[in-house]
Order: sequence, then structure tokens, then C-alpha cells
Amino acid sequence: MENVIECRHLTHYYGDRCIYEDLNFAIPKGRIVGLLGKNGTGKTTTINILNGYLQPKSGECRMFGQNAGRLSPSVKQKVALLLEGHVQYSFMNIAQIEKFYASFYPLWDKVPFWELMNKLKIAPKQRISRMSCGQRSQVALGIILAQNADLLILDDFSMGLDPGYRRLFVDYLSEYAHAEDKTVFVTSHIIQDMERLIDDCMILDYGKLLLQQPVDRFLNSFKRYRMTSLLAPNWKKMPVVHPEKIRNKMEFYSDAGKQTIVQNLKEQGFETNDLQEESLTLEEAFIGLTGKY
Amino acid sequence: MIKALLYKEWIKTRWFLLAIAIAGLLLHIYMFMRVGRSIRLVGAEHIWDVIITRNQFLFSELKYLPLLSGALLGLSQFIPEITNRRIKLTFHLPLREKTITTWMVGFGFILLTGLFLVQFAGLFTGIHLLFAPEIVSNGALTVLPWYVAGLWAYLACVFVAVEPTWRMRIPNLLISTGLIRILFLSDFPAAYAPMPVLMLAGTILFVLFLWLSVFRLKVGRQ
Repeated sequence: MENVIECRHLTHYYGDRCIYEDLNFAIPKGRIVGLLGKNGTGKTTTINILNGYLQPKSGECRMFGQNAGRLSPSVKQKVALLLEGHVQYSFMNIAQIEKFYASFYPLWDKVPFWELMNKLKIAPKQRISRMSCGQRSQVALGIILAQNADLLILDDFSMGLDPGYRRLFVDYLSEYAHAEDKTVFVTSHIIQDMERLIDDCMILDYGKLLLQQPVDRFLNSFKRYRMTSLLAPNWKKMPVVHPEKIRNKMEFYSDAGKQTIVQNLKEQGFETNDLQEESLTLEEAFIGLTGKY
Repeated sequence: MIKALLYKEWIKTRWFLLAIAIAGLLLHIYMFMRVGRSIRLVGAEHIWDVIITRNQFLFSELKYLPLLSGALLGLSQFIPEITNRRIKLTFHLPLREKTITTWMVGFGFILLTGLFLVQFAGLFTGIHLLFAPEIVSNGALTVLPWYVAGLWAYLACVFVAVEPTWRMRIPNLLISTGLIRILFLSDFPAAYAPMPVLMLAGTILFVLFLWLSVFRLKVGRQ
């Protein structure tokens, strides 16, 4: 499958602080990919590098085959960008902003923009700066949909939105991206929203990429296990992450499958009668993989 | 696309431009009313004496108007761009960053120059009606550094505002203030007459400075 974004051997530091080292990933055409990570793991840094607002210390990102630091106008036309906080030209009103952007994008389709604006019931001459955060998010969404771009990059789209607007945003975007076969690269702090939207997830931890795979495959394999025991097994000999033992209750996560876990525990002399395997939501799986701290 | 880019600049700056133009007009009306009144009250001979033998410039209220106009226009154009790092949206528009910057700065610089030329023409038509040609040319050389200071103030605002870090904004502001201060060192009429090269060099220096800020923004200096 053709890759819309490719990042190779990406390394970036802020001063002495390593954001990541030798990060490699690709975003295939037509997929909705969510970049998940705790605060400070480099999600916005990645978006900034992709859009050419930041030069990585080493490595490179390419979008539609071009170096992200030197994108040509024709490639920029194929990329719709939503900045963190739904930043837009708030000194304009919605009629002005529609007129402004329409001049830059030959495939501009004003129908989805005005459809969303009509839902908001705002006057065409109302300035964006006088709108609520939720209304501004719909203006920003309307603009990126109207651009009819091949790739949509959304940085923390859920920031500042109440649950209703978050749901509206996700449903509208998901419907649009699947119907029009668009590629979407999205970050968000609120992982419940991502579960409704994304096909693939990429999970960043401090300094590295932990995982990139389809969400359903991840959730089918990555499980939480609970059991009771007075003693803890030697976790280093088991394919588990973030084991916790509080009094006689143990909890750990693994993608190795129940059979392997049972076999491992038995080899260490543990009874496995009360071992429970639990399916997880994306948020629970994210916490399981990256830890609570 | 360029038309749309200029449309954005126009939306940001139009009320400020109008305010600058009205302030300039009112100040010019006031200055000419005051000089006219002085001529009527103390006589033209005395006013001539003040200008020629005491080296006084009668329109010194104008001194800081271009400076304030340039700063106001620069801030009105670039503060909205740096607020919430909105300039990222601008640089994401499907044009080269160099093209975007050139047109944005060119918009402000040309409008400001146009406004200054109108003010300059108004002032000198008025002076020409009241005084001899020598006084007119002396007056032109007196106000020239003030108008150049207005253009420098505009470019300095871009230089400081577009710079991505506060750590560098402060030295940028100090450098700009120091350079602009050079144009206000002497109130003596036509004191800067031998220094047009300095004014041109300073303008070029500010243009280079603002490109440095754009470059630093583009590579994501933190």
C-alpha cells in the first residue's frame, strides 16, 4: 500500500531532553491513524516536524514523497491541518474565512463547510473570536473538510471541547474520511474519542514508539490478567508489562495470550485456577501498555 | 492566492490604517492651524526669524507620529499571527514561505510608505504656501528621518514579533530600539541631511533581521 507519510530514523531533543531516538513509522493511504502518548512524549513535536515547523536533530519525514521541511505548494494543497486548540483566523467572520480559504484550494467544496455552519446557527458575519470553543472547533472542522485534501492532520482535536462537540467532531470526521477515502493522522488526549475514529494506533512512550498496528488487532491480543497469590512470580521471566501486586491481588498486561501466561506461571509453580483474562477498551490498553505514571 | 493573502492582511489592519490616517490628518490640521494663528498673531517676519536665525522647526509635533504609525501597523498585522502560533496556518497555505512573507511585509511596508508619502505631500504643499523654497527643502530633510523611523518601527515589529522565542525577542527589541534611537539623536533642522546612506543601510538591515526571525520560526527554534 502507498505511504502518504514516512518518517525514518527521526531523532529529536529539546536541549538535553530526548524526545525520541530513531523513530520510524509510515502512514498508509486511506487509513485513519491515531498517535497516542502521554504529555511530553512528542506528539505535537511529530506534527510540527511533519508540517515543516521544526527541524529534527536527525532523520527525516516525507509527505507525499517530499521532505517535510521543504514542502512544495502543490503538496501543501493536499494536506489539511488542524492546529491544537482549533486555532483559526479569529479576526475573520465565517463568510470571510470561507472566501479566504476557497482561493487557495482548487478542490474547495463549500457544501460541508456551510452544512456545519448551518448546524451551529451562527450569523455569517459573526466573528470567530466571539464564538465558543465548540463553535470554533466546528469552523476549523468545516474548513479542513471543505479543502478536500488527501491527508488530514489533526493535532489534539478534542482539546477544550465538551462531550457533545467531541462526539459531533468524531462522527462527522469519521463519516467523511471513510466515505471519501481520506488519510487522517490525528492526536488526542482523550482516547475514548479515538476508539470511535481510528483504524490504526501508534503509541509513543518517552523516547520511543511502542507500537503501531490496527486497533482491533491490538485490542484482540493485548489483555489484562488478574489473579490472587501471596507470592509474586518472577516477572522478568514472563512476557508481561506493568505488573502490580497489591496485598494478594496481582494485575498485569500482556499480548502473549492466556495459554502462554498459564504455562509461564505453571513453570514457576503457581496455581492458575483463578487467572482471569479481560478484554480492554483502547484507553485501558493504552494505560496498560504505557503505565499509569 | 496572493489576492486572498492580501485580503487577510487587509482585514487585520484596515481599522488600524484608518486610525493612523485620521490621526495623521488631525495632527496636520492642528499644526497648520497653529502656525497660521502664530503668523496672524506675531507676524510672518517673526516666524521667519524663528525658523532662520533660531533654527526652529515649526512642525515638530510630527516627530513621533510616523514611529507610532509604523509600530501600530506592524503590531496589528503580526500580533494576530503570533497569537496561538497562528502563523503556522499562514505558512501552511499552499505558497512558498518566502512568497508569503514577502507579500505580507510588502503589504504593510507599501501601505505605510503610501500613507507617509501622502502626509509628506500634504505637509510640504502647506509649507510651500507659507514659506520660501529653502525652508521647504530644509523641512523635508528634517522630517525624513522621522518617516524612516516609522518604516524601521514597522520592520522592527515584524522582526520582534515573528521571532519564536522570548529569549531572543528581548535582545531583538533592544537592538531595534537602539537603531531607531539613532534617528532621534538630534532635533536640529536637517541634521540628518548627510546620512541618507545610513537610512538606506538601516532599512536593509531590518529587512535582513526580519528574515532571520522568519528562518528561526521555520526551523522551530525553541
